[in-house]
Amino acid sequence: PIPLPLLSLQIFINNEWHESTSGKKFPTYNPSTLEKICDIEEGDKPDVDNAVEAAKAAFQRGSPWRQMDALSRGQLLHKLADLLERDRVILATLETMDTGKPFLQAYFIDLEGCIKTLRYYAGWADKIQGRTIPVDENFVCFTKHEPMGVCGAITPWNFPLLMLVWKMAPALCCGNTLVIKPAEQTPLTSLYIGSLIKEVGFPPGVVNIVPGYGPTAGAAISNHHSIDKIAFTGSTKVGKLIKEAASKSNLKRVTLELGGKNPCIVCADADLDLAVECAHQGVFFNQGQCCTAASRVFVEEQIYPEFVKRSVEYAKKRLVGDPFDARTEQGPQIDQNQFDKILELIESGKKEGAKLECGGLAIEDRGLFIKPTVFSEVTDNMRIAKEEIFGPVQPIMKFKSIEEVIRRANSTEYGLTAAVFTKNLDRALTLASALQSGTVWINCYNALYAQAPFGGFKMSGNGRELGEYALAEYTEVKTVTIKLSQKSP
Amino acid sequence: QIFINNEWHNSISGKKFEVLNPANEEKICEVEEGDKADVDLAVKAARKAFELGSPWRTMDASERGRLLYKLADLVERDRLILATMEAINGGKLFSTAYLMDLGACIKTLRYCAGWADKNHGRTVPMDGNFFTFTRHEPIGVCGQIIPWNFPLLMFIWKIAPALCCGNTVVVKPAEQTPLTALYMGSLIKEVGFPPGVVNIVPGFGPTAGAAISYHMDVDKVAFTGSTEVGKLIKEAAGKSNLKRVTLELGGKSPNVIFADADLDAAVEFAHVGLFYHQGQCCIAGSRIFVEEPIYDEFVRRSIERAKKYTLGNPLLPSVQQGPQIDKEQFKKILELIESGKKEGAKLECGGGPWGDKGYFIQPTVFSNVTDDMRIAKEEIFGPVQQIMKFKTIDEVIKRANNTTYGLAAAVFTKDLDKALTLAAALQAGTVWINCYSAVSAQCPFGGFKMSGNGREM
Repeated sequence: PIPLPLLSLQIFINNEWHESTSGKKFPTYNPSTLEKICDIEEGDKPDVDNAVEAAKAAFQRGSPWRQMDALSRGQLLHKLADLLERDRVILATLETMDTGKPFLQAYFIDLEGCIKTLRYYAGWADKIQGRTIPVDENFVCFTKHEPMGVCGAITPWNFPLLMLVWKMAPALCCGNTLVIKPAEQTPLTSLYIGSLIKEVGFPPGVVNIVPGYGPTAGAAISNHHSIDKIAFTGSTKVGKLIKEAASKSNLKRVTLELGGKNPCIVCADADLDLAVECAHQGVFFNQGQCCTAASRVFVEEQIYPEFVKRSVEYAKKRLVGDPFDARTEQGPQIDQNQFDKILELIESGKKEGAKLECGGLAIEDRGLFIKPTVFSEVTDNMRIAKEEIFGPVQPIMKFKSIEEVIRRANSTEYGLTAAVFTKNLDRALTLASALQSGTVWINCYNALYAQAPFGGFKMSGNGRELGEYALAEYTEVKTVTIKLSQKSP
Repeated sequence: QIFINNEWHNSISGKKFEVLNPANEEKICEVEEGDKADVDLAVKAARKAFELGSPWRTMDASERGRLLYKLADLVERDRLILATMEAINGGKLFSTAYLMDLGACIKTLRYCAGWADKNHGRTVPMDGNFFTFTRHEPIGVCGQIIPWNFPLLMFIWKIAPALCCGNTVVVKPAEQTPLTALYMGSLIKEVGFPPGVVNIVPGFGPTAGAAISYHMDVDKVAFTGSTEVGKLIKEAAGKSNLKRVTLELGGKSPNVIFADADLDAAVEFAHVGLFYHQGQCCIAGSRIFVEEPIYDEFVRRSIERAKKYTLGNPLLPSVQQGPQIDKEQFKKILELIESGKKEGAKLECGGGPWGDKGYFIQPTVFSNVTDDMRIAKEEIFGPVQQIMKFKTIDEVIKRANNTTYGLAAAVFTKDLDKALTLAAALQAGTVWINCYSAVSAQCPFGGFKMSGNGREM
């Protein structure tokens, strides 16, 4: 093992590294080799309490963080982006070891997104403006957009560092302090960033990181009475628990980025090559472990057989293997739990009568690798058409008319993203309006940029991340109304 | 030389002009003199750089922001050089140039860099079967004419938002102070802005400046300078191609001091608010209205404050006041001082030139000034402070607003109601409460009435 001076495997509070209060540690594994990478201090409620204390102190009136010019806050975020750029290879390597995602994807996609998102929010820091408002009668009235306070952030294992930056950047940009619990499967890059936070010069207590498990550390955050807001990315099932805990405790504000069963609608007039490629990457990217996965592909009848044929070709060519190999497109699933769930859903597909076109089983006896799998002749009542699979499985269905596909696409409690492939202007804009999704992609897939808001309709989430819209999730509006002796112009 | 398409050129006419050091009236160097023909070349380059499909037009907005951010880094790297150049060429105190001018330049570039990819249009729910959205597009080729009082800072105030929004620019720095603008040309090339995005044509107002204002292929002109020239520019814009116009012009800004003010703070802010950079600020607080009960004490303390000055070479740390920019300004200020004496104001200190070389004028204070005197009506742009008396709020509001100018104003009081009432009543683009000259990249700045059109920052 190469010693990395900046990687501490402990709990990060007040810019210092601590052992867990309980003395317990937990292991983190490399899903590609199934070997343990290392042990991490396991945080639980007392550690969360300490972290919250530190975050609260850092947020006090008159503290260095509260007194800092907004422009300087932005400067710190810029410097953090510079350090991520400096340590890009290290971070991409850690991410690959911890998640099994192909190294080139970690380097060019995950890390790129992190750096750009930090720089985007660095630019917003001193532009968070309230309004002056012409109210009736003799008053001067204005709003201030103030930081909320201590924000809890619970991040997932599919894009560990990127999902952390999506929360950290707007939170810090708006002047909040943070208590972060990274996913237990993938804590390494989040812990590394603790050292960078200290190196950049964020005041102690502004960012705190408590690795641990959901039911313990995570629940301690959701239930905490001194945390003002919680942001969570993960499954809809856990998202509901978090919102419930937030209500039962102190009505902390909640933003959730949850699951999806995202429709990908391919019309007969689409550029077929483009549609096949996008639908393929859309479902198989990151081993199928994306909330945006294109896991219901609706293809217009006329082009259905050709679409299926080409999709199967693509799936068969997809290279599965060692994530550190430059040729690899698909690595292992994250853990045994997910692996078992995906194979179970694949079996349900076979049982319920879908046509297995390719794949359909694990790759080796040992390991968490699953063959890229394509099902055709899928109908809406099958489990693989209704439940989020989060694995390399592409269900392809047929449709006849636009009205029908709109109805079927919207028949789900989810509503995260949708995609439409067509050359027709009217059809594109009609579908964009009709689909109940937080993001609609036209002739592209996974086009995600720091400038554009992202989030779900219905049970895919509450609130938006990225873009200007995220600022609203990390600020609290204060209205100040001052009486005047006479009416002002 | 002249900077076009990231290259340096001689003037087409072959002419050059002298750049002087106002502290000793000596020549610093000669600069290629741009005229209409050079402006035409610059505009052509800027137009080409703005063509659909050009590197600049197809660049990601976030990347434009990156370039501006890197430019800020280079200005920071060369801060010492730029501050020294600005002090020598502009007669500006070195410490001020280094700490204030350069500090603000760097912050402004970083501020605008952040906006580049946040310029949002809207989708609009129109009646009928329509889908409508707005785009906030760059205007095109922007002509920018820069003054001599804050040469580098005013250069940055113009190019930063223009480039942030995706425009291309043709800049004419003031003929008295072209050096720091020309240095920026090299930094712009070093950062990697595509050729033609920024072009710099040094030269004179009636030639190069007029060429820009009248040009049929310049889409917008932005000018900071005197109201007199601002009117000519807006006229030229109307006569030529209806180019968009923004103007930052002069002021005769009122500074209202109430009896309940923190007197020490008020005296200090009023002093710096007028005397900063030898009085050569559009925002100079050149009409100080003091409430009767504290008038005599205020005048006494202001005189004390104005007397403790060391004049001399602005590069020396012991010097607190440098020279005026050139002979023309020097003569105009002395003429207005004479008018003050003739029209019956009480000369409390100063009142004449200083030293035998350079355009130095003694810090001057007039009391018992009345509103009809020339020194109470005309912009002096020199180290001359006018202090008047007032009795009531309604009176001072009327008198403060009684001017064709409206750039800035200030109010000193501890009373919440007075502060907010005056903030609403004063016809000024910026109103300062218990401070003066508080300008920052985040805040819009500009004038009411004849102090300007539009807002910067």
